[in-house]
Amino acid sequence: MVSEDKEYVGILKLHGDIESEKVYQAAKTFTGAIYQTPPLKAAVKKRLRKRTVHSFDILERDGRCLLFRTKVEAGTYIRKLCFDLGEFLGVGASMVELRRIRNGPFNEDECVQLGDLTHAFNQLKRGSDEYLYSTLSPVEKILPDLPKVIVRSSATSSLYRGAPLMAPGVVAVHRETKPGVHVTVYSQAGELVEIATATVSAMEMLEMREGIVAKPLRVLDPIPHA
Amino acid sequence: MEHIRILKEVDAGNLLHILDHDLEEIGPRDLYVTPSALISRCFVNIDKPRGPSSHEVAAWVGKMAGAAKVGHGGTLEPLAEKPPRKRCPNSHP
Repeated sequence: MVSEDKEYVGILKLHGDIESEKVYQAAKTFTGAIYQTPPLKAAVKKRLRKRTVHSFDILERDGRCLLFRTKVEAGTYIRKLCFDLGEFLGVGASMVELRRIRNGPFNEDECVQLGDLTHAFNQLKRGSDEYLYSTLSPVEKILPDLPKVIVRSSATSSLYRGAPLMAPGVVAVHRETKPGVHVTVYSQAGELVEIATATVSAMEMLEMREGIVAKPLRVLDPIPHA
Repeated sequence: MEHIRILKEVDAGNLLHILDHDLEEIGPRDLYVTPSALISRCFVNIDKPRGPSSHEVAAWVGKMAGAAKVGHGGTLEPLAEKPPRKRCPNSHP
């Protein structure tokens, strides 16, 4: 989530007058690899960082206000991008509005309004869980595209306690599994148990009779059974 | 992603399902039988309005859900409108 590409729309305000054509050209020069220093208020170290701006388009202009849309690598500061564009143009600019419209797999079209969520929980109180099930997504649905390992039901309880995955527990595994690769570990029922780091290859995982095949990276809490 | 079928055991229609279908075929109700189970391991992509902080919104959602742990997937800066995810894992109802 933190490392995924982000997409935004926003408004930036120029501090002086300048022809639109120059602005469009300038925005283009801010695509590709750029360097920026995180703002003073940021929660990361303030040193020069390199980031990729996949696109930076000016959609509309109203006087000194520009509506823009941009797709950037994680860790790109949009306020900084706007400020730097202003410096480049020589008139100065600042960001006045910003809305994130995509974060990795999550986009604006599928997002839930706070009111919908309130409704879902109110319906639940009245005994209907339909709306809740259509509003909340199980954690299994948001995983990064990592190789999967499926384990025996009998192995899940020790994994949930943080034990490494042992060879006899493995039932199926993706071909891409290699030592050092992060994998998602599922039970046979399709329940996510943990994200782990494989210590052996896919073939070894299946051929080994004993020994550790993956070490836990992030273990979930088990699904509570009422 | 390309999927494989190296199986140790052959009793495994469902395994292929998990490997091949990216779990899309497994509905939340199969895994999460009760609402509280779902609430304990779910996420929701919220359209956060401008104003309240991500932290505040996460707290409201957690309270509504009766979830013991709630987190959010990233903050935007003060002027911004939307951190598109709230997680509410681990409720202890």
